[in-house]
Amino acid sequence: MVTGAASWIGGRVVQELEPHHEVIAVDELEPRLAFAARLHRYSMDSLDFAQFVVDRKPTTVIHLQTLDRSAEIGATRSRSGAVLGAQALFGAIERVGSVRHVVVKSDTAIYSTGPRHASVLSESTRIGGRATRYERNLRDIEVFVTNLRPSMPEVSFTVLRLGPIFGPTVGNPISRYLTLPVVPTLMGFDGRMQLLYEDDAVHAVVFASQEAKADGLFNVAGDGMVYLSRMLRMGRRIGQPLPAPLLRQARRLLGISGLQLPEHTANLLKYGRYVTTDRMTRDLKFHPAHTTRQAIERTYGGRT
Amino acid sequence: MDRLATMLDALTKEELVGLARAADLRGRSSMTKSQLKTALMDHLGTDGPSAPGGRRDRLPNRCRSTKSQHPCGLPASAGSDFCGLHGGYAVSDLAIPVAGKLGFDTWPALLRQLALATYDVDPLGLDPVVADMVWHLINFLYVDYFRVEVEGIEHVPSEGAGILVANHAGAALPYDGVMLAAAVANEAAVPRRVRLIGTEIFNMLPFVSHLYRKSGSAYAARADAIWVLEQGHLLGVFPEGVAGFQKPQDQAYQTQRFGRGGFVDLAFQTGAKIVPVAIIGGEEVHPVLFTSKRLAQLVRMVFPEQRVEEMAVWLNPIPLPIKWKLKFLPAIDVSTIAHTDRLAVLEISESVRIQIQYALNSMLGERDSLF
Repeated sequence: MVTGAASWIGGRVVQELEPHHEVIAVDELEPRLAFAARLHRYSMDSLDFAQFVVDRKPTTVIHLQTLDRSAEIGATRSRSGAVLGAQALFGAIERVGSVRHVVVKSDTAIYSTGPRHASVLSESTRIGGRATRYERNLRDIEVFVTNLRPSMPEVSFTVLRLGPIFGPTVGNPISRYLTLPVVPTLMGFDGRMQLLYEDDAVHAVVFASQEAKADGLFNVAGDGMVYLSRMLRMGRRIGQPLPAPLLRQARRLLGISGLQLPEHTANLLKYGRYVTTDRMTRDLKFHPAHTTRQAIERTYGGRT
Repeated sequence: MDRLATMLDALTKEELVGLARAADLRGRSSMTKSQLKTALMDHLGTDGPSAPGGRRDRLPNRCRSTKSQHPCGLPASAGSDFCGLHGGYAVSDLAIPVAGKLGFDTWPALLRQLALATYDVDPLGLDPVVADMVWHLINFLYVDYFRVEVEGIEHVPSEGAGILVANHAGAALPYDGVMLAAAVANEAAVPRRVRLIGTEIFNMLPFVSHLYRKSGSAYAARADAIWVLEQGHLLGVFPEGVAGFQKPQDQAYQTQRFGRGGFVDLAFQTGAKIVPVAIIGGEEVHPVLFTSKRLAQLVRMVFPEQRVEEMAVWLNPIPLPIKWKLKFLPAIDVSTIAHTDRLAVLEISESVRIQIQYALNSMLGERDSLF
């Protein structure tokens, strides 16, 4: 079972899994990518969805819908839809008893960013401090996993904290923003960027769902770190430093024209973040095919 | 050769050190006068008598890297055909090129390297090219403006992790940290990079926020410090923190409390050696008139996360050209200490503070002029 199948990464994961496995795709939106499996239209924070999980008795659950959908559906919905959805899903997993493996897509945004955050973050870093809505939601979802883990020893839980996904086709705000011909940046700040190429993000999720022993919490990101200013130079984009008030206006205009940069991404571009991936290579034995530098080169090479 | 010898005999020790600096001789600050003379004879004898003019007279070797289609253009480091970037050096550990080899004339080459962007930066954000560009200004302060004198540089470990612990002062800008890093890069047998750690104010200020990282410093978080030490680099810490930085003039050179002794904890965890450093000169660069709680309140309004109690108000916008002196004290190896408990952390931290205070007092006693 794949939740969030309508999203880009969900679609890619379903496409990769389809030939070898029976896939139950769940989402409430129109799918972005086409796949053969039938898409079951459920809103995850409803009890109907929980009942559906109990009825279908999946053995592996890949939970990808951890970004709440209020931005796409409209602000009338609860802003913690992703948390409520995870609650329904994990409740159903506990009830149904057929599940042996759960893969949860988290995000390195869970560490949040700010002036008082360590520069090198690992899985054992204590998570705390101010956070945006998305970051708080992620924390809540991971707490569900930690609470469920001891009561279900027969199930292996793999939590993947994916780095910022970057690529020519993913179409997430950070990729779209940084491939603009002129990128407004905050004057006097230069974020440290560590990126995950879009294909590697998909492969990481698929890899983790195949590997029964992949129990635990893993940072997943490309090797190396590149400053934002240099990244734009590599992509031959013009980075336009603006003072904070002007930048706000520029981003507001971009928001009106359909490119809303979430607050956690704006913070990332300001301060940057680096996570250690030792555990990923040592315990998960997953190696992203692209370093941060290669992800940048391929993305800008693919869409210039 | 004899002419050279008589010429060198006529010079004072300070002048010999100056020549040694121009010739980039390692370990010059710990040499006696006769050792300096022999070293200079060896160096100048091979280069011919035109060499005493120093770095401006001799054309440095250029890097012979063939990595990209353009010639690299940076000066090669001593004893090598390649520059610091292309020689396969551990650039996060070694400060190359150093001391006089970098002038404004290398900036075009450095700017081109910056634009080509073929090298990698490390996870803390050290950008060796930007660090070298900043280095030019720092070296001017070090050599010509503050005329730093260094003692006991041999106590800095040539390899492996080390924590340099120094007294803090300055009120305006942390010149002491910069001079500490410059001293190790300029004078030590191996020109190592000191990774300084500072408060979150560096992360908050525009332009400083990335320049301080690119020039090799980091935020004083435990994870960052451990990363530096586990890589086997040198870490520079000022345990007094802002209390030492913003103290009134009547407490000059009175070391404040050493916090919770976090640096000892780090040494226990990573096996790094602790090198206490006493720094004279930082207190007078910007003489503090008074300290103000009202001003600190104002700062907290702008930066709510800044935990500053008192702000120092100083007189002069331009730093005074004080003569500085740095004294490195014998390294402490924590693995030889019997107890490694919480109390030992406080004991070692306090003993380091007392050592630094003692060295400060004796250095102040010897000092006869500020300039």
